[in-house]
Amino acid sequence: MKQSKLSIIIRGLIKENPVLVLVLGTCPTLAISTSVSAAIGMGLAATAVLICSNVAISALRKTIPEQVRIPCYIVLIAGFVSVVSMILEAYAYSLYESLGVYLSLIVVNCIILGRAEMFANKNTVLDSALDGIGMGLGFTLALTAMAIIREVFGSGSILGYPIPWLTDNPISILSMAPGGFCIFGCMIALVNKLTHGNRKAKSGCAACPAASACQGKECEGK
Amino acid sequence: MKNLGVKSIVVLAIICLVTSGALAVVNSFTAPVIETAAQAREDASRRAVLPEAATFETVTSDALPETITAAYEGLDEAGKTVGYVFTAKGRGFDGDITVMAAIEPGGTILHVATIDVTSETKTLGGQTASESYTSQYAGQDASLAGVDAISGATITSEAYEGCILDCFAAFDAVKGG
Repeated sequence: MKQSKLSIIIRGLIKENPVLVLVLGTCPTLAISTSVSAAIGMGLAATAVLICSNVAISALRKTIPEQVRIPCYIVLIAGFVSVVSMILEAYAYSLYESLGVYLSLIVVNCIILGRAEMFANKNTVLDSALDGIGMGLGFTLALTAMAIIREVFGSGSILGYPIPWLTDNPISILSMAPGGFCIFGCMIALVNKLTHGNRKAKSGCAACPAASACQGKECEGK
Repeated sequence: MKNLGVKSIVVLAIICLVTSGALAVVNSFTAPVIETAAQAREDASRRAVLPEAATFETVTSDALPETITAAYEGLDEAGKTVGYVFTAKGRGFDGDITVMAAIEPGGTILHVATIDVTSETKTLGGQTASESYTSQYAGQDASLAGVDAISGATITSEAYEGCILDCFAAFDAVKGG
């Protein structure tokens, strides 16, 4: 139960990567991962919101009554996203333009609401902040890895700079939805193999990727 | 049970108020910056179509066509009019297209720039964003005799030409007044 501070961060990077293991936040992942610069930007913006919302929700976890927790979380998350959006529009316009509507959609990014429910409302402020950092960086990592593959092979460029042979022979389908799904599936399979290779042995609660956060409470240890 | 209901309302209301307050504060800092940056971007695009102008002044007229979203008069350092820049927003194939035209005082086009055709089909109507299409307009008068539409993109081409004709109408309206 007692998890070291460092393990909270590390966990979000690969072992419980929100996109590839918990399968949260797939919409922005598929939409934004066609370009590396947009992917990094989106990842960092979502990380900023995630850390802030985790901290706020954790700080208020004893004050917010259970019946209204979802509306309260949404208001807080929407507030942070609005702040990030205004700051980007004022000081980083090109990133703001490339993210487009997906910046506002961070409000309903499952990772943020999911971590609020799964972690922030049950843990201390510091732990929640660390979880936000880990999960946010994991999201950014997954997004960037996918974007590198999709941009290099799908458009033949990297960070906007064309690559000599690939730019004339792009595999265009990778820049579109079907290709995106294929790469996504392959990456989930790869991470699965690397981290949970012998998961066959476990069953029940231990086999669920959210095991460390829930500790059997959600399904009452069934 | 009743107490829990009241507490829920109070907590939610306070969170909403505090969040709104925080947003108002951030907005008061960022809104002026956003405004200035947007103005600078617009000025830069106007300068791109009318490089001879040193300053731009807004011009108004009651007879401006509905599609005209911005009308400016370009003045050089001496204050002489070097041309007019109009921004027109028309209905394209799948959304609105925004076009900017610089017309010199004699009534012919100096330069045309495609501001936004992201709603059009990239490989067809989207070609209106290319230099080879927009350069056709240079030197044209209101008859647009030398302008060829893009084959396969009739609706976009017609919408684009319609926007340019509106710019000419705006030019007449502004010149007359």
